[in-house]
This record gives sequence, structure tokens and C-alpha cells, in this order.
Amino acid sequence: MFEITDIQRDYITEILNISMGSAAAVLSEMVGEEVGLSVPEVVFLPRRVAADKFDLNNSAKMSGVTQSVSGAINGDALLMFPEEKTLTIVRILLGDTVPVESLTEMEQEAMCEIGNIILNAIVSSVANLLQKEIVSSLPHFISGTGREIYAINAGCEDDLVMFLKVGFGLESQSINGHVTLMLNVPSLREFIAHLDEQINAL
Amino acid sequence: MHSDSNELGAVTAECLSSDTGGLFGKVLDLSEHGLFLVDSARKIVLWNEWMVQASSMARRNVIGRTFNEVFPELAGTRVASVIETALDKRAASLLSRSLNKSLFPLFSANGGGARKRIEQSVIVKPIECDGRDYCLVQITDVTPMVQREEVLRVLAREAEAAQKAAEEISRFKSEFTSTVSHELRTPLTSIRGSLGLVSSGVMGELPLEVNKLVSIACNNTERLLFLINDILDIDKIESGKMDFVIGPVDLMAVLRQALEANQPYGEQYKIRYVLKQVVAGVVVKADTDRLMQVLNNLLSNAAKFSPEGAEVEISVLQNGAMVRVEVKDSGAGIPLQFQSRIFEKFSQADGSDTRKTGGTGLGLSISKAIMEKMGGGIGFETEEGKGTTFYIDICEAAPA
Amino acid sequence: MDEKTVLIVDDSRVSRMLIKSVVVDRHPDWTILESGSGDEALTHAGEQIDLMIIDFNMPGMNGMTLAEKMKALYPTAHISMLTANVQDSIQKRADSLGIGFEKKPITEEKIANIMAQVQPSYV
Repeated sequence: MFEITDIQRDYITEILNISMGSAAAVLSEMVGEEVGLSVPEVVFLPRRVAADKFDLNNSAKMSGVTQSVSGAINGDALLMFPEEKTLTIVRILLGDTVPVESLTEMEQEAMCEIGNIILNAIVSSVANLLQKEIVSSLPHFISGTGREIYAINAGCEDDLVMFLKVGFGLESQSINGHVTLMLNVPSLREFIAHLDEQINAL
Repeated sequence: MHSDSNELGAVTAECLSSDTGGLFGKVLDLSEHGLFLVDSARKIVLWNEWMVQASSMARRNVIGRTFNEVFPELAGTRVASVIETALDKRAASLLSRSLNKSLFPLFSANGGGARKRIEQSVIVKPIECDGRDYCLVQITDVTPMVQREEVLRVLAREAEAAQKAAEEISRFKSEFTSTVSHELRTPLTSIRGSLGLVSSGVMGELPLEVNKLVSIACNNTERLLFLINDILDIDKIESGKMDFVIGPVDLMAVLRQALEANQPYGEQYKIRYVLKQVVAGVVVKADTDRLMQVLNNLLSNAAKFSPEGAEVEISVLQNGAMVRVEVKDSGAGIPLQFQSRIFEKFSQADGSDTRKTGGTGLGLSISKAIMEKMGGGIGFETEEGKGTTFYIDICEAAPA
Repeated sequence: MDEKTVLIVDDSRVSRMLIKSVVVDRHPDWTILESGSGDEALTHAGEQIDLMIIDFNMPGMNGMTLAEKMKALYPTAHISMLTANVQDSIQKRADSLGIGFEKKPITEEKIANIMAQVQPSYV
């Protein structure tokens, strides 16, 4: 496990929350309703451990959005929610109460856009911190169990990931999901170095 | 015509424009998507045939002009901002039709009729080429998909409405049944009472023929009363209005009482109830009256379906944390095709069984509901030609 | 000399450090109080406070609730909400409470603007 100090964690959380603030503003303008987004927790852990966090509840199905990133960091950025929560988020944001059991194609596309806004905001704050460029691809809708989504058994289970808790505040309910960002070890060191540089400048 | 675009932009436009006969331009013109390319100076350097058709803007009026000049109405919108993001931050974006109701002002040529706005889904991708940044905008016409989902929504809403209507009808039916049954029971009870008095002879001896007719009337009135009581029970169970007082019950005492009560009935069918096995002093969690009702139902059924002179065997045994009461007859057994419906309402195996009287077809379904309410269960084992064993499982009360 | 007391409320230690550095830099003579939560901030009630810089998103009591309570206790003090939540509805609530509103990220200029509210002569 990769440990960071409290002050480092505090700094990352703060910049991520600022980017979440602007993502929430974009979303709430689009849907004409107050949307809250926050990142209350940031940890670094191996991919396998991240997958296990989801698979604790009997391999419950998760769904969400993924986009690949390249440049300063390479891999995938994932935004995941328990499957039924994804349905709730989309239905609330689209203001639709049609009793269809799973997301329609158009609703999946809407979820992709929501994920795209959130993931772009997170990736862009990480790029700013690294002072390097990260190119991100188009979002895709995915669903499956934690192990399926994290491609466990593909030989990358020990790769470190940045694992964020994301709180989605809608109407009067709050929905928790997770964002995972792949960070290879050299870029992680660099990330921490930039972090320290900026903390020391305070 | 490309004088005000930058050098590479002009080159790109030249290469890609089918006006100049470029192969790639021709390929892009065959695309089923709208495609255009914006360079880092925000100028449009590519505009495919799909875009020409949908926007009614010829290539020469677009190439070399900035995005804002071509689409002044989109200034400050999300489309404009994601193009900026693609060029500045190299992030790709997707704009869904559901969250962005009106994207580009694009229309389909509707066979000479009114032009219809195209429902769109848009993706915006950064492209780097020879050290220069571009942004590709790709538009997909999702009008057919939107229409399909509209239909799906209408159907889903209709299905929901139909279900509500069905629930409403079912509620009405149950209320109606309940009201009618109550209204029928009172006069029937007094008819039954009067007929009973007449047939007993207290009002004077009746001629044999008349007595026969009065007895038939009396039996059938009784049968109607049973049916109405069963219907009321089912209704109470289904509407959750049947009260249960669940407490510790001395099972053997209740069973003996039930056997005693059914003795005359058994004699009528010329069968004998035999208590084969007991669990002495066992205490169960149940509602005494309801448990009695279930036992009566099983005992009378067994009598009805046993051949004359047969024995109906009753056994009580421990079954894990439950106590099981078995009632075994030696009747015809339950035909396979009927087994799955045995606990359904108004189900009787064989309409031709002439010995069977007084059955309403509700008894077992009431028994099942009662047993489930008390946390127990009901089941059977049967073999055609050999007989049937019905059993109930009742929760044993925790020892005091 | 016009010495002031500033109360900084933010659950992020980094944010508090950032704000504090700007204040100290401009006014080394001012007194600075720091709190990591709304409840902690309320323990300072009764002390002399001229300026409050409050974060909106905090665990427990949010910044707006704290600002309302503080406004009642200190009707003449200046309160500014500092937040990553840049939605109009939050701004409107701040306006109706009669308190300032600044969007994160924190910059020197934004903090200087807030300080100017209690130091009209300050440029």
C-alpha cells in the first residue's frame, strides 16, 4: 500500500473538490436543478484491493462510465455506482419516471455524458497538478462486477490506482460512487513531488 | 476562398475537400455522420457533405471561418465550451441528446415537405497532427432512436396504467364479493334454521316425499353457507383483515378435539380416524381457532376421499424446529396434472367423484394461507391409486 | 493602528494555511483564529471577531448554517463564504443573508478583496 501524509491528502482532496464544484455547476445548469458533487476520500491502493472493495457485497453489479487516458498517465479513469444507483441518477437528472427496468440506449448515453463531465474535471485537476498533459478519450458505458470491471486476472492487479469516493447530491438524496484513476508508479512519484512543491510554497 | 485560413488549415481543407477531388474528402462525404474539424485558431477546416445538407451551408461559406461566425447562436453554450476543452486540454467530450435538447441548428430534408430538426448526439475529440491541434466534431442523427424510445415510454406508461386499472378492478371485485357474501349469509342462516326445524318434525310429521325434499333443501342451504363462509375467509386473508392471536398451543389437545369433532363426519363416510404417532406434551406457536380450522379441513378431506371402511392415519412428529402433523388417506391419490394447482382457489381434482359433497374448493387454499400466516407450511405426498398424505408444519414454541 | 481579528473556518488544513498566509502577509498584526468545523468555530463565539471567512462544504454543519448563526451573534462583522460549490442557488442564499461569496480556488486577490471589506482604506 502506498501511504501519503495527511497534508498531501488534504491538498489533493481540496483541488479535487474545487474541480467537482465546477463539474456540478455544469451539470446543474444542464438539468436546471441543484446538483452537489464532492470527493470526501482519496486513497492509493492496488487495483486488486479496489476491485475487492466492490465485490464485498456478493459481487453486486456495478455500472458507470469509463474513459481511457494517455500522456502523463496511462490507463483508465472509471466512475462506478451500484447499478440501481446509476438508474436513479439518470432518472432524476432527466426528470423521467418511466418504469423501464434498465437504462435505455439514450439514457446510457446521458450517463456517459454525466461521467464524462466528472471524469474530465478530475483528470484535468490531476494534469494541472502534474503540470503535464493528459489526453482523455470518449466515455463508454460499462457494467459488471468489480472484478470484471477492474480486469482482475489480466496481470495488472498490483498496479496502483488513485481511488476516490464521490458523493452525488441530488434532490434530497445523496448517492455514493467511486472514481478510480490509474497512475503508474513513476507518475505517482511525480504527482507527489509536485504536490509537495505546492504545499511547501504555502 | 481560403485566403484567411492558416496555411495548414488551407492545405487540410484542400486535401479533404471533395471539391478538389481528394479521395479522403470523398470518403468523408459518404459518411452517415456530420463531420467537421476546427483548428487551434477556432477556424473550420473541414465540412463534410452531411454537414452541407443538414446545415444548408455550402463548404465555401464555412471553410476558413471561425466556429463562432458559423454558429453565432451557440456562443457560450456547452458545445462551444467542449470544443475549447478539446483544443486546450485535449479532453474528449460527449454531448447526449437527452441532456442537451437543442444542439446544432441542423435539419433533415424531408422529401420537399417541412424540414425537421435533427435530434443529435455529438462527440468532440482532440486530434493532433504534425504538431498542430485540431478538434473533430462528429454529429450522429439519433432521431429514429428518440422516436423508438418515445414509443417505449408510451408503452411503459400504458402498461403502468393498465396495471393500475387491473388492481382497481380486483379491489372492486373483492369488495363486491365481501359485501354480497355478508348480505347472503344472514337470510341463508335463517332459511337453514327454518328448514332444519321443519325437517326435524317439531312442526308436525311430514309426508315421506316432502321430508325428502326438505332434507335436500336443507343440505344444499348448508353447503351454500359453507361456501359463503369460505369466501369470506379468503377475502379476509387476502385483504389482511384476518386476525391471528398467536400464542403457545398444546397441539395434542387441539388435535384430539379436532378428531372428536370429525368423528360423526367420518362415520358418515364409513371411515375411521386412527392416531398412529404422537409427540407428547408438544407446544406450538399458533392461533388455536385457525389451527383447528386447518385440522378440520385436512381430516374432512381425508374422510371424503377414502374408500369405505378405510382408516385415516394421523401422526405427529418432530421435524427439526417444527412439528409436523400428517393425515394419511388411502384414496385415489392426486393426479399429476392437478398437483401443482392443489392449493389454488376453487380447485377440485375430479368433478366426477360422486361421493364428494360439500366441498367448496377453497379449503386447502385457506389452510395454506393460514399456515403461512402462522409461520408454518403445508404440503402433501401422493401416489395415484395408493393415497395421499397431507401434512402441516407448525413452529414449536420455545421451551419456557 | 486598526487591529482586526479574523476567523477562518475550513475543514481543509491546506485551505486554512493558504488563507492565513495571505492575511499574515498583508497584516502581520491581525489576530487569526482557525477552526476545522462549524461546531469548533462556534466555540469562539463571544470573542472579538471582525471578519469571518467560511468554507461552504464541511462535514457536519455546513458553512451556510454556521454563517446564519454567526450573523445573529455578530451583526456588524463581515462574513464571506468561500466555496467550490459555484451554483447560483448557493450564491443567492449568500446574497439573501447579506454575506460575501467567493469561488474557490483560493487566490491572493480573492482574499485581499475579502479583507478590504473590513479595511476600506486598504488597497
